[in-house]
Amino acid sequence: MQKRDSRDRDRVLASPSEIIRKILLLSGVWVILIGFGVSSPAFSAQVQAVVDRSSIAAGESIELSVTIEDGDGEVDTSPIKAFKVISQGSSSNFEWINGRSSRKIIYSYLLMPLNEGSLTIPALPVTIDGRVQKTAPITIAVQKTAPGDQDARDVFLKAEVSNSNPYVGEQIQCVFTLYNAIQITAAQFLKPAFEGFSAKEIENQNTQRVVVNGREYISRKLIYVLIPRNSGALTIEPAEIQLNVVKRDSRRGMRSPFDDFFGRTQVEPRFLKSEPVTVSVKPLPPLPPNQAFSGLVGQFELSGTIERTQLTVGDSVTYALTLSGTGNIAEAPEVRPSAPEAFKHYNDSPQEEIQLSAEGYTGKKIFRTALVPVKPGEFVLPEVMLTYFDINDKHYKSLKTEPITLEVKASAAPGSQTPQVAPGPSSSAKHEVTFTGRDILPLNEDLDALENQSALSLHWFLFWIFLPAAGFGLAKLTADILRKEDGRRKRMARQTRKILQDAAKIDPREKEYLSLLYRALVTAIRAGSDTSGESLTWAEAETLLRQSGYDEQTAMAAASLLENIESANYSGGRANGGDRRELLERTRSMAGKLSR
Amino acid sequence: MSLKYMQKIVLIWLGLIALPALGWADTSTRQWLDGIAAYKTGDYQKAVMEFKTLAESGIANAKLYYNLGNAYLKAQDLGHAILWYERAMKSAGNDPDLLFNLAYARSLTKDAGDPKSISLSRILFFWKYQLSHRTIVILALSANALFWLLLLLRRFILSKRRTLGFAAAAAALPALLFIVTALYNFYEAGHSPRAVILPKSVSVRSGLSDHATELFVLHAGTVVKIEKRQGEFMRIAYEEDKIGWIKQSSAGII
Repeated sequence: MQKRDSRDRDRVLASPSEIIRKILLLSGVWVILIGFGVSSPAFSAQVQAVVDRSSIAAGESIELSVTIEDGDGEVDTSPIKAFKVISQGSSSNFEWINGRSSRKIIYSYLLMPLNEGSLTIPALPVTIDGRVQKTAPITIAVQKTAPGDQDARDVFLKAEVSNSNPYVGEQIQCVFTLYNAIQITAAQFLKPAFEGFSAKEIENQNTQRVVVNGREYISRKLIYVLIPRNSGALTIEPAEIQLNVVKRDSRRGMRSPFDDFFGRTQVEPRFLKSEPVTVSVKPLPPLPPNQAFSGLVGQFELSGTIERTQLTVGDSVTYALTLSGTGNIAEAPEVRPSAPEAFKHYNDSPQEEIQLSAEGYTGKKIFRTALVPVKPGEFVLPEVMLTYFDINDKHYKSLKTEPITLEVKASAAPGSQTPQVAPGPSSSAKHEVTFTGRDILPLNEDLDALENQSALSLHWFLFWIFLPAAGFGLAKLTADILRKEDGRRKRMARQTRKILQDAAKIDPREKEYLSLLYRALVTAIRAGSDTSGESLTWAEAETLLRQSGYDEQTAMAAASLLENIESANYSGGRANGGDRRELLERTRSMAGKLSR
Repeated sequence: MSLKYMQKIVLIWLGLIALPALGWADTSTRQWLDGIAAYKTGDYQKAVMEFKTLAESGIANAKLYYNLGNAYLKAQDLGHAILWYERAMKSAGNDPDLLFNLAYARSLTKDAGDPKSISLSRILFFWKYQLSHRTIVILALSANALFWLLLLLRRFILSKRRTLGFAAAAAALPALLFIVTALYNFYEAGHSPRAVILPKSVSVRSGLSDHATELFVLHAGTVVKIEKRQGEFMRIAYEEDKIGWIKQSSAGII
């Protein structure tokens, strides 16, 4: 009973540290449970794709949300081909309801239709922990915007041409107008390819306020000058604009004046396309007979001016033909006078002053020709004619300059009628040599063109680079080895001589004398036979020398000498001093013979 | 077996071995002559076909490439014309006809070249741009062989001639210069190859899709650098600041 009371008291009077420990323990359990609840049900993750609208007009966008419940994964939007996809980021949502946790990750995308009609967002694969789940496909109806409806919209793009039935070569304007009644940002314009036209954009964009069906818009015009190259029905493909529409932040009830200041606005990307425009290009009418068409279409004038008409032989005078007007003047061919035979003529490069405006190409081209008379007399510079197609009168017109009469007097220099054009760098008749025709040089007809001249590969290049170095290295190595061998023989010969000198210095009767002779002869034989070692028998000596190429007589003489020295050495010194000196001389002689 | 009989067998075998080669030579010669004839009669498409067949059969020859460039140019295909001229330039960069025709073809391109391309490096390393890759390789191998030959003479045969030492040192400088240039050319060809735009106009886009934003437009004959290839697209660089993606089929690698 006492013990029980004691336990009860202990329970009531638990220390503060114990209470804290228990709280931490419980908290830990909760954290683990929550963590488990969040992370464990990956296998039960669910994916769902929803759109904010299932029917839109062309140019509008829809919002696609892919929700992953109770899991985390990656959404693959590459199967979506009918829409342009812009990722809007992702958000996550964590909920705790009735003791059960759930987590959602929502990936948002903005889809802009690339075509009209019934478009499908296919099943999108979502990879969650290595497993692939797919969303359900969604069908979106994209309605074509009626021209009437278009004007009622907040922002739209229109394409117009100034003339839908031009002639080949006639310049027309193609105007793309962006109308916006609401604020837009980050507009990116993508022009069409203008297949069949040569196109040039006019730099200055025209922005103004206009009223369409009672609604005020800001219109921005992009103007292109087009020149059709071929006849027939040519289609100008739709231009495209990607932009952001600035919208009021829907999460806020009232728009405060500070919204713009703090950037509290929402932007909605839009993708706009203009309607395709068809242009029926008429061919030019048949050319009247005996006329050469210059290719010019528009309205042009041609004038010819000359500095003076009274000349002296050798003088230079410039004749300028000015072609001016509106149309495809940039493509105008060179216009040159037919100079009389009594004149030398030098053509200058044409001078161009062409401007591009909303009305098209306007300007002039001046063709200058320096004329140098070589004979005195009166000559006529004939008229210059140029035929173009007048776009206003719808028929061919020929422009003509007036013929000019030139009076050429003889040169003041007596007896000289040749032009003074050659000498001196300051001569006015000296002109830069320019191309008068343009073409490429002819074909190569040699049959050696059929020989294969494949380029050297890097490996072969390195091989051929290192080959001489390797050859040099090999030669050096061989030389070093040879020198080493040669050096060994010389060293042994020196050693033989040294031993013999030592022997000559001592008394022949001393025991060491014969040992020295033996060593000297063995060293000489070893050097001669290119072997190493300190002792030899006379039989070995003979064999070695024979094998080394010495003749039989020398080999036998050396072997005999070795035997004699050994005999004298081992006979206990019976040989007298004279015999021993003779042995020294024979050894010296043999060493000399073997070293040669 | 008699010696005459053996000789006959050997001759028959040699004939059998040489026959396909002779046949091939006949075919290629005929195609070559047909191409030239077609070009002269103004049938440039046929000339292109004949020369292209020869080039695709494995004949790598600057003269053939030059003719192919001519045929393409006459057939109004500027992109392919410049591509084949550029390929010919790799081994015959000093051929005056080739230089003239390439200059003419370049004058027909629409994209203005970058004036900054006449850079300091072009002045300092002028030989790299003046000589073809083939010429540089030949010079590198010749100068290298000469250097080692002089060194060999100096070392083993005329060891007391000091002039040989100076000559070897003098040969070492061009050898080193041309070897390094040739190696750089190999590196450049392998890592930063160039290509020629083939269609009349190509939209260079911001990504690997036909719907990616068009950044700029290049026209036939413009030479670009290939920076990267991915799938059917490749990232190209034009001038210093213009890069983007085009389809690989839109450009021919030089």
